[in-house]
Amino acid sequence: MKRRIAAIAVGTVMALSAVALAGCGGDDYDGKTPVRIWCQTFPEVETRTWLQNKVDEFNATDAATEGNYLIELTFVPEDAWEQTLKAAQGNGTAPEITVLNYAEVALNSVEGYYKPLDDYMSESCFTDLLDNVNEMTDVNGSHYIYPWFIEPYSILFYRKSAFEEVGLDPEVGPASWDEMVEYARKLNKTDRYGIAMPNSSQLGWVLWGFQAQDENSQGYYLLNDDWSHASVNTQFHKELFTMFRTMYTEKLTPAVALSSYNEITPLAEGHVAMALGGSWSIGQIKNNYPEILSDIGYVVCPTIDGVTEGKTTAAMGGWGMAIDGNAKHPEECGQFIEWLLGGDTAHLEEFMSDLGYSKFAARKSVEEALGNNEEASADPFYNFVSDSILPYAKAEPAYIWEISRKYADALETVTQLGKEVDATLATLEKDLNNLIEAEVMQGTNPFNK
Amino acid sequence: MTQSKVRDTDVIAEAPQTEAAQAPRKKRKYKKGEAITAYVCLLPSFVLMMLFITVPLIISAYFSLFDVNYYLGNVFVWFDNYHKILAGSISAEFYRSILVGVEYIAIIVPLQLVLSFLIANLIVKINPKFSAVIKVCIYLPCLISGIVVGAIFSFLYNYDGGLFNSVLQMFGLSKVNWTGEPGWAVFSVCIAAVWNGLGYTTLIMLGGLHDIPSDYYEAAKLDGANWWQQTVYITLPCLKNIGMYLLISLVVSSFQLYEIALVIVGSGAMHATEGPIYYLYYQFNYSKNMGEVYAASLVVAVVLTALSSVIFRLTSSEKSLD
Repeated sequence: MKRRIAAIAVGTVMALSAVALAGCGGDDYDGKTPVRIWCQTFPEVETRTWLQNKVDEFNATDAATEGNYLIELTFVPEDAWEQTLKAAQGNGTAPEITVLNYAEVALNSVEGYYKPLDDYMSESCFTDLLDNVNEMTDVNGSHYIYPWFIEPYSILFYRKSAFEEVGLDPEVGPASWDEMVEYARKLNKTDRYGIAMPNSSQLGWVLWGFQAQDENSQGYYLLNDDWSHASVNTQFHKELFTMFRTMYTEKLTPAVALSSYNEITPLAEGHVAMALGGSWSIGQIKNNYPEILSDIGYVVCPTIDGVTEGKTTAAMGGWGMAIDGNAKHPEECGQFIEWLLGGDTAHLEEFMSDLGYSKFAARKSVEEALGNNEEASADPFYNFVSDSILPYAKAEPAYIWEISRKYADALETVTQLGKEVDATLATLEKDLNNLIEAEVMQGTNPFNK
Repeated sequence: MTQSKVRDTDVIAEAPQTEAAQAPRKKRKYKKGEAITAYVCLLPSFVLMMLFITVPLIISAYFSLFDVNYYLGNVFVWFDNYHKILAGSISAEFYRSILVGVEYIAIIVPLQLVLSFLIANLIVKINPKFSAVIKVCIYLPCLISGIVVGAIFSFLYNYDGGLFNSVLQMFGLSKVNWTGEPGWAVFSVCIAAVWNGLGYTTLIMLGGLHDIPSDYYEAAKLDGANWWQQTVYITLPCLKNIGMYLLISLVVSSFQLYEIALVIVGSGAMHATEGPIYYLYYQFNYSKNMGEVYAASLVVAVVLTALSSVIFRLTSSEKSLD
């Protein structure tokens, strides 16, 4: 009996030790301090390759060697990003540098998620930012994210051959929402849809591109400047909802999106004749479908009245780097970000070139360098976005995600359940104002100076 | 065949259980060595249960009373998080998720129990070699994770080119938006979940069927009972405890259904497939206050416990004594 008990006890101890030790492991940093950076796996492999190469290059520089630290880069799958980062923040193992999109930074910085970069980077890095970029990254005089690149959306892409097939001018795209619907009707066939629209899960942020066009908005997308009131029961939103509903009820767009909004695949593979996308879409075509590049046409996103010149037609998306609020090596983080994104313009010139000039500069000096770069100056898409979209593009809204989610839900009740537009918008406005009150949002807009 | 004869058979079938239940319980005395062995054997389970259930539960209860911020520090807010979930700004989403969970239970539990009962009865009656093949085939989906099941069914449900819509079109019917239209989306998720879990419930049911003494059926046959009467008066009563186990485990797993819905529908279909666990997942990802997530997870646990208790109470199961 005693032997049996002893055997069971030893077995238990061994099993528990195995479980405990399974989580232990060692990394070889050659005695250097690792400074971790996390980045999502972008759809374009070129982004990952460029970043990895640059990290390796930095780790070989004198700054890293003398400072006795190295940058450790990890790519986190896009669909696991939120929970992986949140879990790491919770247990105190969040990366010291995070690659983030601009929209989420302002409110999080108020909650202490990030350190002000101004304390760890040269002032010249910030004076070099383009004015509209500086506006969207400056929160009460401090910068909590340093821009990597800008990606405006939405832009309308189309297949020129499909236009020719139905007698449309391949060099002229639709200018108004009504025209976009009309074009989609003409282009719709049994084996090809007229247009690709964003899928449900991405509708919340993709709609920012359309909402940014609202010239009569009271200030800040769906809310007014001090976030005390929402106003969506307007002619602009009624027409936007009606346009979306027509696309779905007339089956001009797939009932279920054929791909993520981040991917231009359905257009490239001929499943749709037109597609809304971002500037990144052209990079995907150049790198993955070079044979159809000459068949791809693009115009600024159609507007409510068809007037597009000198008007806001897109939201200014993009990505940058932030230092975690609990980072133990903020000086080193600042040094790396300045070296990579705030210093030598050649780094970002190389990046823009690798991505087929589908990403855009956030710094004056980089923009100037690209202006002198023959390849960039000769790129028609680069010039088109630089001239017609970027100067008027609007920063993404900084308010809580629930606002955008409720708007997208309301649009879906119209497109999927056939609810009446007027009633839906009236209910939505009421819901948004209730949410503003419940979340005590009034006066919390960090950009309301 | 009279009704009274069948009633007699029913009494015979239940007799052993009733006697066993009525027999006086003798308290067995264990020797000291046996007790120590038992405790040592229980130790690993006890330690794991403490580590992964009890301790997290206590921690969750503690943090549910705070506005949890990983950077600025936590602020004690009493029961504000519970109020927010049950009557505040995020209560509508929470109640909607509970209703979705109940919807899953209402569809999956009867469907899976009936199907597994029928298949188990079929397997009992056919050639043992052939039944082995069927058992393997039916159990295989249980080995696949919910994520993979979701991926498989996403292909089948694909609006353009998916198998189901292709078949519908072959018969001249119009395509169905299986994953985008709220009503169909719930049904689509449930079908995938039933496919995933059917093997497990069928094998348990099969074990229960094998345990029923053949004498009961022979006696019933002599009395002229048909298949239906044998099923109602012998099979079902004898499967009561197994049925209870399956019912509880199916109710719990259906209420917690998450991965399959996440892959097949995501946050589409007007949130029609977002059950309580999906709600927790969403709040965990997007809420600035983790205290709300702790509170919501505890409320979900309470709802699940309440559901199980109601089932025990309604069925007056002896298992509730356990």
